[in-house]
Amino acid sequence: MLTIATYGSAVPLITVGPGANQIGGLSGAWANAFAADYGLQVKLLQTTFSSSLLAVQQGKADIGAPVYYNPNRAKSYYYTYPVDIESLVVFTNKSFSYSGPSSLTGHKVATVTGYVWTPYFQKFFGSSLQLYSSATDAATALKNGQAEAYLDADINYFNAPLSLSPDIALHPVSANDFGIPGGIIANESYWIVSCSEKELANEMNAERDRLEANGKWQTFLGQTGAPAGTPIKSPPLQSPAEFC
Amino acid sequence: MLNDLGSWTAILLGGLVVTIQLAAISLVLSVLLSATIAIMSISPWRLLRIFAGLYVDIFRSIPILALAISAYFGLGSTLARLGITSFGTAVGVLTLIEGAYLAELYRGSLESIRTPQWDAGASLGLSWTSTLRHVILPQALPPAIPITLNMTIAIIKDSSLVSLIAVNEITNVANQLIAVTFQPVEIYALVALLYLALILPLSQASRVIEGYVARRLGIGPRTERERALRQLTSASELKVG
Repeated sequence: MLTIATYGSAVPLITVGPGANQIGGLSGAWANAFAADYGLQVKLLQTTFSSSLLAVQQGKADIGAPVYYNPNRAKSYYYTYPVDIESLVVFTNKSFSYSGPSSLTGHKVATVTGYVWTPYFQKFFGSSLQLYSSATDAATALKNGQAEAYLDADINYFNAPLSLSPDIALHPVSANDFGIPGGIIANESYWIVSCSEKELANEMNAERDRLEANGKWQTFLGQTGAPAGTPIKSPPLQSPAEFC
Repeated sequence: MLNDLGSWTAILLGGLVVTIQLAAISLVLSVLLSATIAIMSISPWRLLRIFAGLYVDIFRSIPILALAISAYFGLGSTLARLGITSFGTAVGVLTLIEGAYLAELYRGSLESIRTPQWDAGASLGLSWTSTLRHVILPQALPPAIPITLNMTIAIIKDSSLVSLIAVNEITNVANQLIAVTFQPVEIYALVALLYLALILPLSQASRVIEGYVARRLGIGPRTERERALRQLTSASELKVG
């Protein structure tokens, strides 16, 4: 059994369902290939973003759905090779006049609990920041008009409820916007395993090497289920610094 | 570690303030709503009784979490147009659901006043409303006080459920802290301590007021001797049984 803690779908990175314990997208294809090679059955532990991190840390799940790297988290997890690269953007309605972070001051801004960017947003916006437990909830708040801007990775534009909506505008974020260092504006997503399971991380990486070598990864890139034109950036195969 | 605990406590206290605000506003509104519903449920007018019964049945059957999420996201654009924030939605949801429970408790309190009291009012020529106001409510109010305090505790605890609609109450703040620090045991232990610090005094006050009201209404022991005698009696009844 390979228990995977997930926190929802986000094509092309990951899809959950439609059946029970079904996982897809780029990272899902990687995990499924790994499970098949080792004769393991995939079991999903579907939860919130923060709880997925804890599930892996506490051994309730073997691996956790891809997350961004930060040195603090690297004290509790091993990171596999990256799955993709995602960039922070500001989502607003087209009618909203966005000219930079300061144009959001005094407006209702939504994001998700637990992102590497969230502490910077909290510092920038203070108590007026609306923190949701999932990207779907935060994006729904934007669509409903309960938030005037939504801060998250660009891949959320391809997922419900935004789903390439023509009413939504994406604004790029530059280094030092919202006080965020340039190095973490764009982030790789990695599968995570607990500090006590380094071997599992190594085996996942070996699987990724095999997929690259036999050409299956290229096939997966074409079968992510993402809409045409979805930018998929496949990063170099290397794990970040570990502090376990 | 001690430094961490200090800074975490300071951050969590910010969330506790929101929890207290949320519970206080919801409690005041719940009391007003439930008192109205309780009076409607004992009124001589059938339509009002039906409405009160429907309200109680519906809102006692819906889980707080389900109502909060469906109201906040389902009615999202309407709420946004009306300028109702996640805090406002949370207050509305807690008021509706806790109000249904409290209404039933208040109804019980009103119905505990015996029928001759109503008859006495009527024999003095008082209308139903005047009998309620001058005869029934003054007797029904004292036992309602400890009930309300108990409900306050329930509202404080239930308020943690609205963290899922982006209300920055203590549970939501704790989740944010955990996502950054990865110290769930320590942070949830702090949250539990803060809840205890808030709820224990209320719980004690509820017990004291309950005892006071019981003595005033002659349904509880007035002295320590009476209390001891009652305990002895109930113990011997248990043995006989």
